[in-house]
Amino acid sequence: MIGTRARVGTLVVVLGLAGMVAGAAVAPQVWDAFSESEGNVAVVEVEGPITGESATNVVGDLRDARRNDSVRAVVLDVDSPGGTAAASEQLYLAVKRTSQTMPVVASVTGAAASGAYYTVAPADRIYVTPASTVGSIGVRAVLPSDGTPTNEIVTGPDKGTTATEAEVRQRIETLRRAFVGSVVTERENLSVTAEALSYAKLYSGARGVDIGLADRVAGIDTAIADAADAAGMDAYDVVRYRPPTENVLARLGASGFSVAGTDVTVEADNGLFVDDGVGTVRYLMLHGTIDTAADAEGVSLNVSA
Amino acid sequence: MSAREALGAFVLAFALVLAGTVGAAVLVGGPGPADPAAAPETPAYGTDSLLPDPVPEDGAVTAPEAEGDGKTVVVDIAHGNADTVAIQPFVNALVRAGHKVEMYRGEERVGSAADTLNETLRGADAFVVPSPGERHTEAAANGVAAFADAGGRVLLLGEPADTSELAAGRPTMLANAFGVHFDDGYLYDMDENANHFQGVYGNGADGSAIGAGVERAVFRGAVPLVSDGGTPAVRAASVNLSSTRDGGDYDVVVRSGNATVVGDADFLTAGQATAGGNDVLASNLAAFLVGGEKEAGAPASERSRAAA
Repeated sequence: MIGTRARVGTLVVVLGLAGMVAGAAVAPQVWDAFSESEGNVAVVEVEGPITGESATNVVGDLRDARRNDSVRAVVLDVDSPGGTAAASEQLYLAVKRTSQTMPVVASVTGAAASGAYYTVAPADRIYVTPASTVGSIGVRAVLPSDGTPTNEIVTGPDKGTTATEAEVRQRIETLRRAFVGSVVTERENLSVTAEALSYAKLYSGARGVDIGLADRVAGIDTAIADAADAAGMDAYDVVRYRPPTENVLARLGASGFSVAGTDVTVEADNGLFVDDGVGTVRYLMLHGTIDTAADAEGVSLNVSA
Repeated sequence: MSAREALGAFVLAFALVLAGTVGAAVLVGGPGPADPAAAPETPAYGTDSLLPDPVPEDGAVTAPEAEGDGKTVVVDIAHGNADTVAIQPFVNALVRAGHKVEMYRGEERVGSAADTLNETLRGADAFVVPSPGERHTEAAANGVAAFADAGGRVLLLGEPADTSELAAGRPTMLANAFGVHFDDGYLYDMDENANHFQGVYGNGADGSAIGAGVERAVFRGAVPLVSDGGTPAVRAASVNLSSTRDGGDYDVVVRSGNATVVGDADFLTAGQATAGGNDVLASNLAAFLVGGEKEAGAPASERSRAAA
């Protein structure tokens, strides 16, 4: 039989275990409550050409930031010439959704052109520097250069061909209206008309502030401090959400584009921007000269224009 | 402690930790918070304002019925024009009305190329030059001018060019012979356009037979014309010129004597001949082409003119 002392000893062990388990369960909440940090500012990077994949990553980062209670503000670190029209629209909607629940501040560290400007337009404040660029609010349709192959039989006149010129025209007009209309809705202090925006000019940062496409001239640290201040935080941590693919791979061209200085070259076999053998019309919100010749090496973008 | 008691202690600790975990999961675990944001409102995406209205395409290109054998219309395809534009609806209308349409291929024969052109024009009543890629020679221009002086009708179609090269899409030499010049750049309208900033609308000018009844003709890529003494037939109002960004009214179709110059060639192609008011303009131009009376035997050949 167990003696009294043994019983007490067992009780001690049992209660000790219970105490440890209970303590472990509530320790994280107590930590949060008593640590000095009032929350995090999440810095989400939007770098390089916007593709379906890169947009999915950024949209996922923004979703994580919204669901994470400790993230109280988001700063977008943007240096991109734009990308595909559909992916740019996804980013626009994700940033807009995020700005509904917490302050979103954008810092243009290089270019926020075309699709990238679409992404930052709903931000509460856009920070630029004189050499950074914003604008290029327009759409381009890249038509495949190859004709219809003759070795196939299709079931209808529009199946094997690209869209007619009139259809492409109407489609980019629709995309232009959506793009320009969204920018006009988001930027309340624009001093230029929708018609002037449709010229699709790329403006310098300083000029962008002048006409209302950007808000202030300052660097990313000011943007982070501004975001924290807008969220009411005096003490905060900065969390950086990087895209999953490493820069090393990007430099090797494995992700389809490479960066050398300020020129971004998209490989010719990157089917997102140029024809990869399946000829369809590509709708892009992208700033840069596109080499559409059949033997082109790819898309060359000068981001510092 | 017996083995049973040790086993009991193990089971108790296990149950305790499990209970604690269950409790913690119920109290503070569970799925992450739902996305706190609602779907954003996007008024710019409302489909009413988003989808553009397609340019209406109705009507048909017609030509006046031929009397007797009808007129002979020669179309120049010897100067790099065959690739640039296919004016099939226009040609079809003339043929259906009983007129003859011949293609001038500029075959090299004994004698100068201009001689060949003059010979062809001698048997023609009208001459059409669609957007050439090569220059016409001065001799050719003289021949065409003589043809027009003798009552032949001339239709010259040009296109805006990126380079300042002569020709490159426009019959500069021929147009200059009639006092008409092509301006630099293209016309655009950011405000009221045919679903594209380069698709400008043109309306018939008052007092012009060629412009009669022309309302909202669509010119996709038009170069404005400047003329010395010509009559404007179709004007694009409140548009801008790409080279100067100046706004204003620009002439797109000008008639000078027996020649008419148009700053756009695409409006006669199959895809655009019935868009907006293009069919009326094309029909008027067909009537212009077959409406003249040319003297027989003109233009004379180079040699006989030089000898004269």
